[in-house]
Amino acid sequence: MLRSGRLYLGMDETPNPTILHVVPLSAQADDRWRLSDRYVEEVWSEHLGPTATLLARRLGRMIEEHPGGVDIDLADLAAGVGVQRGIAVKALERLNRFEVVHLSAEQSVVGVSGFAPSVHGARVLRLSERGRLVHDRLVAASEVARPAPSVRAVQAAVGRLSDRRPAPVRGLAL
Amino acid sequence: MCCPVVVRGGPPRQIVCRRRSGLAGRVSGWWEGIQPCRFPVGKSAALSATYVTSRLLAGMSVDMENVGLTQSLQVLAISAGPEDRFRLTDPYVEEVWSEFLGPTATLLARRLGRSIEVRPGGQQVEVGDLAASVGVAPGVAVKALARLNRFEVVHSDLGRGVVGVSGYAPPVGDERLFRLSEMGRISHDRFMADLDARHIIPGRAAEMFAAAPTVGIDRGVVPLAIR
Repeated sequence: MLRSGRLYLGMDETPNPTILHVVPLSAQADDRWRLSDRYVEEVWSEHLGPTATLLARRLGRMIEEHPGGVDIDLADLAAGVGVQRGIAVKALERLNRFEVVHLSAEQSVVGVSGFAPSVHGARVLRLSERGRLVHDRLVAASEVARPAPSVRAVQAAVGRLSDRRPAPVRGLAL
Repeated sequence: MCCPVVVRGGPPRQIVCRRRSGLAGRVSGWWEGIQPCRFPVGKSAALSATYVTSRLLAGMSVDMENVGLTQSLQVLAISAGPEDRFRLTDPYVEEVWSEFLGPTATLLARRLGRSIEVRPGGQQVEVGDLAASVGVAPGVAVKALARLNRFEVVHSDLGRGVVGVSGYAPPVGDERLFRLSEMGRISHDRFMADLDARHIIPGRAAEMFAAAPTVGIDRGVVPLAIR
């Protein structure tokens, strides 16, 4: 919980510098959109809201420029999108909930792969009409840009699997 | 059905917002007479309340008959100002202007900028759709549009349902530079140096309108109450 973590700022707490460690994560199998892509800005934004969307784009750019990770002051991150620290923390929490970035509040670590999955399942149904149209258009364009493997290539791969091959010989310790 | 927003007239002539008590009694206007408003309920009422409040705070008049009908906005292309040097979709707006505009206005600026690039002839958008597309309530989007207007990044006359977009924004002015964060100042300097290196002159948006002279609207000629 963020409330018990280091990122939480109560009303009476002084805003000490809080360093966030932005670290690279490997992308998941269904991650297909860069965080700075239009898809995140125009489709995911309906679920994430403006602050989280801008933060996602910013973190995505950060990890592209610093693939090894980077430390950043939370206050700078918040000021960069024109909000207070508390709102930035809530937005990071939101990004974590939607698994667009991954936050460990206790360790002040933000894991960023730089990619996000498509909106799927019930969330597609909750998009606005325009959001659904943009989602469909961008997904279709992405499919065209990344064509499915041809039938011949698939058959060749299956054929290779069914080839008789000698079993590997293992040296047994006698 | 009774609307949650009631406009009272006569001295001291105040708008009283019953639902949003934070606004109650804070807004003084020049409204004539006593007139319970006829806003629709629900989201439209919240939108109308925000709209009326922002108009009166800005010292502008309110056409009460049309308040409930301003949910549809006409996005129009207007010519760029002499100081406009960055496209609304450039990282400059997202990384520097965002510190003043806030996240909603920044995203809306990018959205409107892209919209006018794709459709230079303009288009009709619903406030609700525009707001939903950035994940906020309509009232928040209206406030963000007012904010963009105040900073002269986008020009709007919400009373007439018109939003004028050149597609470009000026650099942050000198007095605002001092209020930027350190990171913001570094970004500003970097982008300005990049512009100078590429010899980008102010008002480069004029090229877009030179290509399609009939779709652009000259801010100085068209009597829109935008500026």
